[in-house]
Amino acid sequence: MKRTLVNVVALGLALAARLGVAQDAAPPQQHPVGIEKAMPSGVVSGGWGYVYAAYAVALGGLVLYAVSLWTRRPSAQPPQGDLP
Amino acid sequence: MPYWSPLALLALVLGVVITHLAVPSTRGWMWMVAGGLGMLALVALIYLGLVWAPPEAFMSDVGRILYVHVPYIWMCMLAFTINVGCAIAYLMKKSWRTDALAEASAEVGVLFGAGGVLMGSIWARPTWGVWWDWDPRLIATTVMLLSYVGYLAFRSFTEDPERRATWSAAVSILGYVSLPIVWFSVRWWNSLHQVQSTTQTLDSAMRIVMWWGTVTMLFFLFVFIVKRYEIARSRQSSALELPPEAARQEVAA
Amino acid sequence: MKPAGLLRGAWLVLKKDWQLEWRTRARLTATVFFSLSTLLLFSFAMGPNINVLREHAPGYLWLGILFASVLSLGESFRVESENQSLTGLLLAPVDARSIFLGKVLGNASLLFGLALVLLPVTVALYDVDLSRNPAALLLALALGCLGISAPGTVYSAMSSNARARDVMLPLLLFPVLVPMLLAAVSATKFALSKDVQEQLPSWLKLLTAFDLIYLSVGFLVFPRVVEDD
Repeated sequence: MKRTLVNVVALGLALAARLGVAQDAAPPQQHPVGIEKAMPSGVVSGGWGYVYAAYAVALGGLVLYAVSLWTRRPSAQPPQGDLP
Repeated sequence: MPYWSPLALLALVLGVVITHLAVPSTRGWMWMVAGGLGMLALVALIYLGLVWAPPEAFMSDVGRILYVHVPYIWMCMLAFTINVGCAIAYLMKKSWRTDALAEASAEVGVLFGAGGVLMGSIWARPTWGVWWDWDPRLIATTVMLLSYVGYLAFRSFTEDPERRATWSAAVSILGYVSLPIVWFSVRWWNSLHQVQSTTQTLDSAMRIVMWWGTVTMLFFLFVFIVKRYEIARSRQSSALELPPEAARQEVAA
Repeated sequence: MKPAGLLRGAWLVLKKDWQLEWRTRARLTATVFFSLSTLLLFSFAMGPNINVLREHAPGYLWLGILFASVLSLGESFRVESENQSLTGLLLAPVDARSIFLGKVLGNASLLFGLALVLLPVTVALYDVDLSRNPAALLLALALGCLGISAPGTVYSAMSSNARARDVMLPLLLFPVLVPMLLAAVSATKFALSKDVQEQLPSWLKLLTAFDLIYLSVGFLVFPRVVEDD
């Protein structure tokens, strides 16, 4: 609980610093919709499902591509010769 | 991350790839060594990323996705840079090898790019609350990815090999040139609309894992490019149907 | 080749294309009606709220121009390849770069003319106010059309011969046009409505930079694309 509070305060300070440096404020209704969801909660909790999904994509990509290279490999007897 | 590290990585990859292509004696074993090391490093990466690294301050465990996502994107950019280098080299001096390397690096780049964008989207959902956003890196990478998917489609639809080589070089250059423009325009649009990017802290343990991930993926980048190059070369020779010569070592090594 | 010769060659190509277009007028008419339908479809798809339509009108306008450009760019080289006239052009003492410049200007002028025809339509469908900053609006339209034509001419020279040519041109062209679309829509938006932060000059500069970059790259690359054709 205390850690969450500290994180929220730190996040708030960081964002305040950024806003201070940014240009003169435009009317606030210009920001995109998703940003509200991302800002105030401070710490993302859990989310291991996403982590596993991402690692599966990473590993799966490597494996599948390696397999596709293997199936497309030039056969042992290439009949044609060299090129300039 | 030091500013010169992308160039250093590019030089490293290029050096190893060119060594493999130019020095016949290395062709038998270098890729196998790289592949083996890569697989070991990958196992270690899974442990480091999922268990050893501490949770990130704001993203907690979701930040672990970055240890695979960021290296993937780096590899994508390296591959596309190699491709545009080959494109320029080909337009300056025609060579089938250059064209084969261009084809190989484009395909491998699309692999890493697609994976990277997908993982980025998976990361974005719990972090930003949306699957997609106007982040300049995301938009620029997606645009590059689309350009290169178009490049690969174009190559497969052009039958004449010489024309395919020249024209796809042109496509590659035009596509790559858009990268800084896209980056700048999206970033500028964001600054005008007060869009903030996510704060991200990287302590030393996380930095280590990030580098480990990059090195792991480098092994795979090398192996994939080199093997795909060989496929491209063998397709070239069957398409061109030149009289047989003793260059099967090129392919069968 | 001397700059005077280059421009003169481009002018000849441009004049030839304009004459051809005017004689047939088929491409012009088809393109205009296609864009009209597109704008109408947007207004139906986005619903009857006129405030929403007005706000997004620049986006609809530019998408309409973009979709039409795929038609007109595709045609511009089909004419050449069907009669082998590109070979004839190249054999004549006209530099390939002149051909490029002439083609780019021809395509750009066609798109610009289309944009002008579409402006009253946007007033009718989306209730935009054209009188706020007409000079900037015309400049934004001109720069944007040039931005579509410069890479589009290179890509259409390549895709006119490829298989699946109809899908190849947009597949190649659209990713490259992403920043141009962003800049053109923004510039148009600030020419049509309030520009609180004075963003308009910067977007116009970005459009100009985009055009210059793609004209230069096209200049370098186009001769290689059409040689041996």
